[in-house]
Amino acid sequence: MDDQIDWDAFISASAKVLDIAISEDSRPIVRANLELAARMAKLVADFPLDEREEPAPVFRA
Amino acid sequence: MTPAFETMTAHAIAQAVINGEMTARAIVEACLARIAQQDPKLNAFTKVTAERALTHADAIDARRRLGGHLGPLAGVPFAVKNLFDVEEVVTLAGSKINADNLPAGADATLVRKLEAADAILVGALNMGEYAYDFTGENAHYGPSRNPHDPDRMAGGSSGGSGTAVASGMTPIALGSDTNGSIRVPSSLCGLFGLKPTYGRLSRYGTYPFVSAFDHLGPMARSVTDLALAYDAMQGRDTADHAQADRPMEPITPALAQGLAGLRIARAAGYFDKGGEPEAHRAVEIVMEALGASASVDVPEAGRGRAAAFLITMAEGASLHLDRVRTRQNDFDPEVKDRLIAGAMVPAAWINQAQKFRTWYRSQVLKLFETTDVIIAPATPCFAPRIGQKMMTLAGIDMPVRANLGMFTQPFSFIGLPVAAAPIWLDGAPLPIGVQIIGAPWREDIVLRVAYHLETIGAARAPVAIA
Repeated sequence: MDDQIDWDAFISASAKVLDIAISEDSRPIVRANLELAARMAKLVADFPLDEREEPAPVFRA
Repeated sequence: MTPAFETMTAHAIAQAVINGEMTARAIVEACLARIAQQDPKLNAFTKVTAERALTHADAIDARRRLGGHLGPLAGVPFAVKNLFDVEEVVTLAGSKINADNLPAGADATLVRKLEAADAILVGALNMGEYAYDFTGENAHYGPSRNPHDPDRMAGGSSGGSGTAVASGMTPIALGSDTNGSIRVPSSLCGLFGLKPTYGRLSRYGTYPFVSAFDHLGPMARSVTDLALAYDAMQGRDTADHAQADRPMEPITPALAQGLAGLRIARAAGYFDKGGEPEAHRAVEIVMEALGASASVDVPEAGRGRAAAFLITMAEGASLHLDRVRTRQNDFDPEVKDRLIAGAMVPAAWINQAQKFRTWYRSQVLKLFETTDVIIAPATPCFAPRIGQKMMTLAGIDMPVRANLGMFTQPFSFIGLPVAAAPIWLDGAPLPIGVQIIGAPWREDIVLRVAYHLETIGAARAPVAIA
């Protein structure tokens, strides 16, 4: 994940969209969790999958 | 001479009650006395249902006097993680927020099923808030303490379940396991635990966490007790939409079949790294005890864990979004900020994780064409100290709370049945568990292997010395 991401701006904007208040105490922990999630997401996204692969949950009518 | 209650297995208790050697009331009174003695220092229970338990015991004793049939768990006390509904008790799910809810109107399906086998509920157990936890710590109700060293974690999120059984307060407890929450406390507290196949046991009447990964199961000090509880809890319940339509497949009668015909392999690759020496040594001991030397590479297990981590973040956050908006200060701080971050995870990451899950499942299932059982570490280390935030694993510093389940997540992610078996290394003051993993619906095989390890003395779950 790009080190230049402005996580604080992302957190502020997301918090507004989601209508969640973020205290200054929370902000660094939320950021650390998002940075970890981004590393996890990169690990997943870097793996080549067939674009026709189905997501695991399957709805049956 | 009557054996001490705390050392009795569920099987021994039921036999004593069925044979008239002990009354269910005497058992429950001994259980309540053990709780009164142990719980003030170990903090397993958030509610003791003493009156209900004694009333139930008297009904079982009366039925026996009249010559009525007694079930296979007659008089066996058990307790449940406090995310199980218990009639007239508020379902806390480890939270302060849910304490404002009305008491449950009925018992969870699995509580009803165990009581239908004449087991006796004695209370509800402490847990990590909303099950988002591997430590057993809780800011509202205090930590579940490890009976083998009360300054150490019980593991979570079914921490009270581990504490209650390892201290001899109950022979059986129920927990839930979304990413490892039965297997982690089983490892740290030195217990046998079973996370059945996803969809095997009904979840109706329990508080959810991540619906796609939530499992319920038993923890005990003997494999026979695990099997008795598991068998009693099987059966179709249309109230749980995720439950599979499987027939009853009792496994207790087949526990002693031994290892004949079973192909056993150690999980290599991801599982060879990242743990402390004790985690890997426990796997070696088990492989030696099983006379097995093969290994299999679980393909892309690290990515599987990453995908499980992401889906958990997002689903957990979605479940609690309204409470994060309106009652943020009432959360355990350790949980709140993870939920806030989870709400901000982009949807595309989650969809990719769910697609990866399909691929990963198909690849891991292929392993079972040539292997029946996979052995892997359960936790990367012995129980950390209560309050410890960071740990060093294989030279890398990382948060305790998120990483105690690094070896359990890749299997619950695809719903495989897993037993945890407790190993004591030479001279070690604390136990550590291994996972025994099978193909879907083969709980019989994983418990056969656990039973063999118990029978030859390689795995054991002694009551902690108080």
